[in-house]
Amino acid sequence: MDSNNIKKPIRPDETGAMDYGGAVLTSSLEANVALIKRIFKNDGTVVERRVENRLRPKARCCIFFIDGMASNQIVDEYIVKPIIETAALGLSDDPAEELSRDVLAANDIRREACVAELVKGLIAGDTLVFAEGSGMGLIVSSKGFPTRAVSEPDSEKALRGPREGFTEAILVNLSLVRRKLHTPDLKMKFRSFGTRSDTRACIVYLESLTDPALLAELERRLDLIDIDGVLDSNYIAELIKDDKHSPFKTIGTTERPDVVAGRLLEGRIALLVDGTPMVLTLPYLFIENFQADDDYYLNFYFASMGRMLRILGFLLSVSIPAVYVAFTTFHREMIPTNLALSVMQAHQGIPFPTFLECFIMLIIFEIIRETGIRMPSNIGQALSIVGALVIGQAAVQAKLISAPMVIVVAITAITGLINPKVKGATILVRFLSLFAAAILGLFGFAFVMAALVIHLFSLESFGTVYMSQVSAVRPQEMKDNAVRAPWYFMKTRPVFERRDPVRKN
Amino acid sequence: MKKKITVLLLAVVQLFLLSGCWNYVEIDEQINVSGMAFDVGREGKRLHLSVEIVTVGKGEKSQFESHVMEAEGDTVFEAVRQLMDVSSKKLYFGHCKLMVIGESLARSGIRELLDLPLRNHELRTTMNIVVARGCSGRDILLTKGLTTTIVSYRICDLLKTCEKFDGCAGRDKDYQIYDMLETQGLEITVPALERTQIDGEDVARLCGEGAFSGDRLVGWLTEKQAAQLSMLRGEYKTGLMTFESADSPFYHTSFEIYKAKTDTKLSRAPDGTVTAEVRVKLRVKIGEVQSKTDFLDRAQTEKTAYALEKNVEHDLNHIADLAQHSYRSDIIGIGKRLKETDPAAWKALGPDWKTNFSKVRFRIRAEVVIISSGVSSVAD
Repeated sequence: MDSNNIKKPIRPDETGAMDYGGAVLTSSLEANVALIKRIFKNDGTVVERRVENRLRPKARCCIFFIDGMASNQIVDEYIVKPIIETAALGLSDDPAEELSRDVLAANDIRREACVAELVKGLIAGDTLVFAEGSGMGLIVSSKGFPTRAVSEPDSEKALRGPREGFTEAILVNLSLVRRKLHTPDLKMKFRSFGTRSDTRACIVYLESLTDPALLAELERRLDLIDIDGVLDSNYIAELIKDDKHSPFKTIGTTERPDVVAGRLLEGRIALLVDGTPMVLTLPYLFIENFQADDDYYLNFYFASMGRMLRILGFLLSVSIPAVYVAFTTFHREMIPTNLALSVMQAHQGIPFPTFLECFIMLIIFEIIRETGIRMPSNIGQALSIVGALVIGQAAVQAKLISAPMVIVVAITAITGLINPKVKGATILVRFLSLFAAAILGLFGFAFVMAALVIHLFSLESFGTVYMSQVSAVRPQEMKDNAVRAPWYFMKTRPVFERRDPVRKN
Repeated sequence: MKKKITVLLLAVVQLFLLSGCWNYVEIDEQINVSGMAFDVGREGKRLHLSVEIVTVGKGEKSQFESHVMEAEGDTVFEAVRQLMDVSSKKLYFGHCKLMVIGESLARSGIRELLDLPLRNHELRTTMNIVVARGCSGRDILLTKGLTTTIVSYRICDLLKTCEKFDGCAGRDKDYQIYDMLETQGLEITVPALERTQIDGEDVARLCGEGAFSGDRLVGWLTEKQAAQLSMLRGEYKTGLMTFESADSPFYHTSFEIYKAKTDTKLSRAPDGTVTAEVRVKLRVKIGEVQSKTDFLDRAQTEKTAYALEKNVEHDLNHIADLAQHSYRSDIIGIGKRLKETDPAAWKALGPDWKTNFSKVRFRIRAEVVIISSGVSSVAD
């Protein structure tokens, strides 16, 4: 074993990265095989296969692959079979060269002497080939693991438009993006995160449109990441976000390749991470929370109406409980008389103060919503019965909750679900404004709203003001806010794209 | 960071201390007052206050119920505070829309009643004010609501509807009446209600207006007279007028007035008498005809219009006469107009306007244009 020059035990260092103890390959096949077996000891999926050429038994080889990661067909037909049957082996004294040039029928073969690279290739699903008398190993491309089929994402359904969504395999995802943008201007820069997971990620952008400063800033922030495992793109999003304490997202996520392509065309950058269909796009503006992908595929009148409803939904969802509590407990003179009387009638005999009643109902709704996500889908009926019957009807009949409150909470809930992208922030602001309204009435509500606006306008996403489109006054800047202007009107890219603003003439 | 949090906390704590009125009350922890009525006090106090409160009955399908609570006091505020001795919860006046003033109290002055809504934040200055004719204010609150259980709101609806169709001025809010009370040369009129019987139950009925001199009630105007008074004041909107038909006194004709315009010109003779030239221009539609007038015949139409002019002139003259000699109160607002157009004259005549008003000479002319015979184009 000393022939492999191992000075230290092979194990991860304190950062989690593998330390191979200075191991190197030698020209002895047995020594190399022993090294690989030592690195992968106690790993039952690593398959070792010794192969001898039929014509020259002395030209011995050994291949390694991981069961389940490599395609059996490729290993059988294009690696094992040629080595056994070839007549071109053992003619020179560089068997690795011979193998890659004349024998193996694979589309991608790399000759590698670095142990770390060889191990990386093996783990990724490639096959390692070692030959007697060669100090190099071959990494033969043979990836063949099962991936989920491309299907429409459940969380981002569109009425019209493409039906495909990203999968967990980054290469499949990249191909989905590439198929939308047929240009060599589309750049894909790979890098990896996680000292232990070594997750591949890819920065995708259109070089001629993307601000180099933006790209440099992204890479600077990515370089600072120090984490041992990345299982989803949110790990990275939270680490590179501008204001880390804000409940509002300043980095977009999507599962749809058409959305990514659309944003790339606006001069943004996408970050794909292996193992998750959620792709990050940046910079991300506040108004994008209310933009749906099929806004651009539907007639612009209809799309604009939908957009306005979503904005209204956000405002209602944030303010309705607070305004209701403020009006009924502080500003009773502001409610029309008939409404005041029926609220009074409904509230007769309810044991809780209005605020507590509202708070309880909102919490119960959040519980139902959370349960709906967590529970196995085949017991969903139980939830709707409990939710609708017990909490809606029975609570009112039992005089625990007043009927108007059920309506208030129902409208709040529905309008809260209309914008899934700002769901978290909506819930937070809603409760804040409710507390403030319960303490100070409309004054408190106005106070929270002012704080919200100040906060939103102070946010930035990678150098772009978060609210930049919202406060616009020029027509070209307002084209994609509350109203989605028709395509013939959208002549320029969004404001943050400085390199090539004109989209078309 | 610590400093930041401290500063923020200090700022938030200030909010609680500085924000003044903290009026958190659950909506069902108060009793809504829908209307109030004032009469002359009985037990040595100046005022007798009755309020109508809205409560919710007990039981599964609970309905609204209306009750009347009563108290005495020297001021309105004192009487309201006295009510708290009886009510279990705080009385809430934010939705109080009606103030009824009993006839006997109205005859001794109403100014003191109008003051509290202008000072108190809870009482609305937009409260409707009415006087009770021939009964006490309490009696009006004790009538039945017919369509609704809450009498006060029924009366408010009544005032609103009548304003729309009767041509009355509709200046019956607390602040408007107070304004008029403070205006020199204009006396107030306030809508009047009386009790009547429907199906054996007492019901409140709008019966014109009460005419005041200063803040004291001096007489009554019928509904028709109230409408004509607002025409004389130049505040008439739309409404209906019915007179005997021009060609046969046995039949009647109703006119819908679409537009009324009143022009008043004052002139002063050397001896100091003021002459008021009032020109009333009416655009009317024939609403209903009982006689056989043919409105396609221009002569007959003009005859009708002329008859209407004469009728209106006669009625308006009667109102002026009523104000000048019976009530001796300038409810028409001639004094106000004189003050605006001829301040010097007002300076001379104003101090004794009551006397001088009765000497004003009225020359009332009506011009009527019949714009439509009102017959539908489809005849079968």
